[in-house]
Amino acid sequence: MNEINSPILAVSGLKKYYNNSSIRAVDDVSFTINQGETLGLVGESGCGKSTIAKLIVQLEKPSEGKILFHNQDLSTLNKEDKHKNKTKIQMIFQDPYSSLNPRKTIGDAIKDPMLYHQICEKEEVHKEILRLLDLVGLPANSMDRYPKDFSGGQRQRIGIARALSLKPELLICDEPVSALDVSIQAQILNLLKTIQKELSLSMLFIGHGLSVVHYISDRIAVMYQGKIVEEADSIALFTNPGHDYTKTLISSIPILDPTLRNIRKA
Amino acid sequence: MEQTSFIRRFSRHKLGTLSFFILCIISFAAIFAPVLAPFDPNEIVGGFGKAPTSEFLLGTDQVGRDVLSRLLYGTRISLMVGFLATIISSAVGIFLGLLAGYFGGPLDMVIMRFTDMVMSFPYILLVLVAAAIFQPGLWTMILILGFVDWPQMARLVRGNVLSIREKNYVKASKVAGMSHAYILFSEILPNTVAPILIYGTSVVAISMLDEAALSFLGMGIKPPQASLGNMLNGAQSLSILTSKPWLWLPPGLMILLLVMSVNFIGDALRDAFDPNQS
Repeated sequence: MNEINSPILAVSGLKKYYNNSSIRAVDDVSFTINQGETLGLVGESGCGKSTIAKLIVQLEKPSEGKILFHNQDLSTLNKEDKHKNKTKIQMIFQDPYSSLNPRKTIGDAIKDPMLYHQICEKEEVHKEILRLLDLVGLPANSMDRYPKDFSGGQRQRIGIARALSLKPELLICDEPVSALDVSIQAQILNLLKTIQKELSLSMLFIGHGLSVVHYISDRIAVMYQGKIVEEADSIALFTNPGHDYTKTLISSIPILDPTLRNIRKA
Repeated sequence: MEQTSFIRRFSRHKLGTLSFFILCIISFAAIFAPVLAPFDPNEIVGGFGKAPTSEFLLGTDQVGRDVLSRLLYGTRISLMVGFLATIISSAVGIFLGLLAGYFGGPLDMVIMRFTDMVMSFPYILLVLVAAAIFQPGLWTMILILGFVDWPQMARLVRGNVLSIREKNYVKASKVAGMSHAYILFSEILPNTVAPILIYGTSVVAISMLDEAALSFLGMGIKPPQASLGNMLNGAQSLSILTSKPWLWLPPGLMILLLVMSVNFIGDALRDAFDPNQS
């Protein structure tokens, strides 16, 4: 949208091969995310979109290609700079059930990384956690409770609070709603959308359904078998899809209204 | 809240609860042996191999020492060997298992091959050799048993770490740039406590049996110091087995009681830790 801004993240020629190049999870992918922009990444299961997320947050090393964050290659930084930059890209995971340590209270799970990175003073950490919990719409007493006391949607809120606690500039959302009930999906999507606007975060939103991704993204990249086959403005993609796979994705969105459904068929 | 439901699940295991109280009573008796024992365990106080009387409640052994006093002191040694050997072997096993499972790669390879090597060694032989080289005695035995029992613990911990390190909360910690030490000891280790404790109880039982076996063979606790094993040692001949049961029955039953209690407690712990049971 804001073409003038320099990109916060620039990925170029990114490749990730497994098993001696026999599996090409990510095959020569390039894209950019601008400051304050949400890029949607959509594609079927196993097309490599989650691998891209793991590569960006450095859970895995790319086979080839560059990931530039503020024009800096994160993999070439020295230890100290790496440590400083670690907080700036945070991730929200698909499965909210395994994303929280069952033996840690919610307060501790949020507190430890904040103190470790000296994001806030020890005296203020309590207040900060309360602020974060309030931001994601959870009651203050959640702090002393364990993950088992929370539902999937609530856990995803906790995951969001934890990610935000480190004051990231870029948020990677790896299918954050696909494990949730449809009614809860909308709540979490709205929460992410509000937070993204309020904090002017940049976001990479990964999903496998176009409707969800379309709702939250400014731009959408369509992935198919490890490659980005189409990238367009969120609205333009719907009105004028270029690639056959994009057309399939659009046509797979269920339309509840029978009249509209018939229009599409015709 | 967590605690109370844990105790409730534990107490649902009747044998485990009973075993827990039995072990408490035995431990209490063993700890306060100097107060409770009617005689000095190494002093000759009565006739040779006399049957139980009101003065010597469990009779006297072949050299005229009080069997009850020796039983109390012997239990003390057995419990000490059981628990200390387990603490040592668990510490070694947990440490190596954490490292191998978490870092993987060449380090895992080296640690696990070393573990296989120690496991494949006939350990009675190892213990006998060690006992021959070092001065046999209580601490030697604790150390020896501690250093032969760790491989299973290392494998158990490694296996658990391998599955836990793939959990999203560990990944989240990595993405947040937390230190390896934090991830290992604050994220992973607390989630392996249950299997460690459950397996640990069986190591306690095994160590106590090993102490008895080694002392019986004369390679463990040196006489005149009493241990359950070398009390049995005094009862090797058939005539004693048939005619003087007070010499071997008390230590034999005590070993049985201790090992069974510890194993039942392990069972109860397993039930209590497994949330699917409730």
